[in-house]
Amino acid sequence: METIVIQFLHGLAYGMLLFLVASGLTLVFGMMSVLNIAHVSFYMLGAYLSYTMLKVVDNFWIGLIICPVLVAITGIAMERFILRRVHTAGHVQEFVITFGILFALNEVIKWVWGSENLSVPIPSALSGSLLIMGHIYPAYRLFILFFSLFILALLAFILMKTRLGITVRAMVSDRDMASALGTNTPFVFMLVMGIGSWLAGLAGVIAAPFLGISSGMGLDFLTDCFIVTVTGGLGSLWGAVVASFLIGQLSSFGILFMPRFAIVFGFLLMAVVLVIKPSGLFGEKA
Amino acid sequence: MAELVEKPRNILELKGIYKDFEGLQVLFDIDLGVQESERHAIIGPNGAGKSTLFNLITGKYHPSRGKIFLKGEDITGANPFKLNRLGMARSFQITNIFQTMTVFENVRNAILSKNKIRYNIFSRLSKMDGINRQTEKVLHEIGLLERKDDIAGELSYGQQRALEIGLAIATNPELILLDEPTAGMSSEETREAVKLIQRVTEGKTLIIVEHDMEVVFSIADRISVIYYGKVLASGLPDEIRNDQKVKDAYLGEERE
Amino acid sequence: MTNRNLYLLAGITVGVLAVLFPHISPRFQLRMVTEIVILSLLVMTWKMMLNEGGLFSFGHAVYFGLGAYASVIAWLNIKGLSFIGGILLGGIVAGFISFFLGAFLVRMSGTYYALLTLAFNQLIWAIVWKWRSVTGGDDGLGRFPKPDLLGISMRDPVNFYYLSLVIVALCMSLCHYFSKTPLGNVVKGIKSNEERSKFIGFNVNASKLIFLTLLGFFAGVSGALYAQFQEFISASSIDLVMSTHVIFMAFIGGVGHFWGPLLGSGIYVYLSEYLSHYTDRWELIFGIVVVILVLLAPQGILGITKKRK
Repeated sequence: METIVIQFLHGLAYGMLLFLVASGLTLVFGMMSVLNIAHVSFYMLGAYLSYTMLKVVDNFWIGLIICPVLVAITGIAMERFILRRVHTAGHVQEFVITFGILFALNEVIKWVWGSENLSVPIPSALSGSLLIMGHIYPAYRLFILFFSLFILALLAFILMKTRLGITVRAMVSDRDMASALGTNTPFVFMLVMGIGSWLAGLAGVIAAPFLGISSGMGLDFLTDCFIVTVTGGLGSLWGAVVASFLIGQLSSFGILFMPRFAIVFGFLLMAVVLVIKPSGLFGEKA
Repeated sequence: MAELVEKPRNILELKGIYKDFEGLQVLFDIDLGVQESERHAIIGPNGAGKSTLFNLITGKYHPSRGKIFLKGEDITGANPFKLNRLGMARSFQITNIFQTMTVFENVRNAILSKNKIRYNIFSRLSKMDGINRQTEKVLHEIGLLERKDDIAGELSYGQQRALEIGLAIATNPELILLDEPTAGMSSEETREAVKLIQRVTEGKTLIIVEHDMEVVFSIADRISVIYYGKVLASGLPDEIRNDQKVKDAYLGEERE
Repeated sequence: MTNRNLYLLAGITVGVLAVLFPHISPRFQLRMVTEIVILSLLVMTWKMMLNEGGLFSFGHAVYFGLGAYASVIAWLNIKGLSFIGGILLGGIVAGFISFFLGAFLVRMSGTYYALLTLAFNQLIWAIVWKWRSVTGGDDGLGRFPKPDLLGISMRDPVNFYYLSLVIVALCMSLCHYFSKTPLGNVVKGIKSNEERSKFIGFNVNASKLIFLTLLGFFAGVSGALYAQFQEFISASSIDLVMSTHVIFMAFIGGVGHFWGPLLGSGIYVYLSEYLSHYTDRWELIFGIVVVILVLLAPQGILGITKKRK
């Protein structure tokens, strides 16, 4: 019984991380109809930047604040200078270029930080453990959980209650209409891109002490992230919430039962969902 | 009405059809019968549900409730391609041809389907004389033989509409559904189109949605009036013309 | 008509050069050109999937890699399996996988299709990587037989080059012929107007599926050839990086062009060879080149030379 709770919490934490990254991806797609494959490298970038930040400042919390912002700037720059120009050329070009950027970013990361695995220590404030149901559970994982929930709540609040949020939702829902109503489209694009990459960078920073930093981390996460996005439905935040929860759990329990091929479970879920509803759980036009 | 020795068979039957889209009710309790070989027109104001009805019959949408029968067989919810293979074909209100292919290739697509040549990876298309002949025959019928090597997207509107009809008849269906075939046409083009339609639907069953009353009354054997998702009236043209309900609701508003 | 004659002339020139090549160039060049020829078949299948099927495949390495593994495992375990037999087997297995995946993927729209192929690539790569007993995992498989063909030794690079040339040319002509067949025409029609294709009686999903299966077969043939070329196969032939390279190769050459795949693989092989002498970071440069290329020449290099507008 305790194992189940522990695994559940673990899956929840991982699911939250997935959500942070997938939400950015799905928002950008919903809004700009651009599938930014390079999105996951923001996650990686966040993690690597936090490593360097720790070397420089030796304070996890400062890193938590600054690194995602740096990543957001990268994301905005990417949108402004590259993506925007490709948008008119067509979907194929968008795919190729975002793929190229993913590739290039990964290589840059390897170049700057090397290919060996790096480790980031858990901040001392969170390095303890708690006793949950007779099991020792690392406090840091709980932090990931609650912090992500907090961010999620913040995001929900912004989207539901603020004027900006409503604008964003309107644009995701019907871009042409929203721009006809006078919203400043390029500005909102930039904002969404910025927020999306910020979220991904944030996820990277908090994931680093938990999952470790490696040159392959992007790729592993990439698959799960895409599975989440597709299963939830491209463009749907709710879909991302539900799907990341499910995938998080499947991943966590899957490793328990079939450690070598746990990855299959996520796929099976995705396959089942897509067979029943080809546009994903909450996706609209396929 | 005279008693007939044998009641003409209904090639198409709709029983108790309802259709709603996410809460918006578009069609209510539609009962409709179309007799074999008749020319049946469906008229009604914009938004009344005519196109939805068409889309239901031809498999693009599935009814929320009710059943559809083709030649006595339940086809409710069947796929468009299966319906075509069962002998039903349609044209579209908004031209839906193969824009990037030539006129010849457009019609040939349908001819290949008619001849059940779908998965062949061995024969050379250019050498299939029978196919090519059948294609040219249809092209001749729709008057586009001289334009056969032109890209479909470059034809004039009227020619594209003719091709649109051509694609519908090329698979040699027993039941043809034309969705506002004369939409956007000048009177001259409309007259030509009507002649074309009468020619190519000879001996077949035709269901036609139309706004142009002249066209309707010159083609139709029977007319059904759809008004706000319900069948307001159904019967012979003269009956419809004199039906008070219809006059109040529709013919009075729409002076064609 | 001059355009047509020009193409014919270009084709003959290339053909003649191709045949004479081993006798007019140094050995290591021959090796590179062989690699280019083999890869261009793979790239061509990707290009066809996009151009004619309208589908952007992010996981093409799957067919390539599985075809390679299948043939290698066959050569290792089936005593006396011929060269061509192994190649065919590789193609058939890849075709099978393509059919299996395709049955699921075919109803997906463009973006979902792309994402799913990427996800499946990762899945299959992970399985291949972890199943060490069969695939050798990270270490890969080597030292498999290189059977003679009709008594001619395939160990001789010149012979191997000619064989690759023949096989690839054959496969390419078959693919080219495909567009002139009824099924090729259906696929073309689906690309032009998928909805109308349905309404005139075509089972669009089934047609697409057969098309994908055929492409998978040829990609597998390419993989099997490649395995013999390298005399080694590892999970790196089936990973996302490989899929990425396929996309880049196709793109650099120009997706709309007949010679695109050849040009693209040529640039790729030469670039990787020369750049890797100067820097370990040639992949980075490759990525940057692609990004710049898309910005400046969205239709690939051959797209620039395309005068028709």
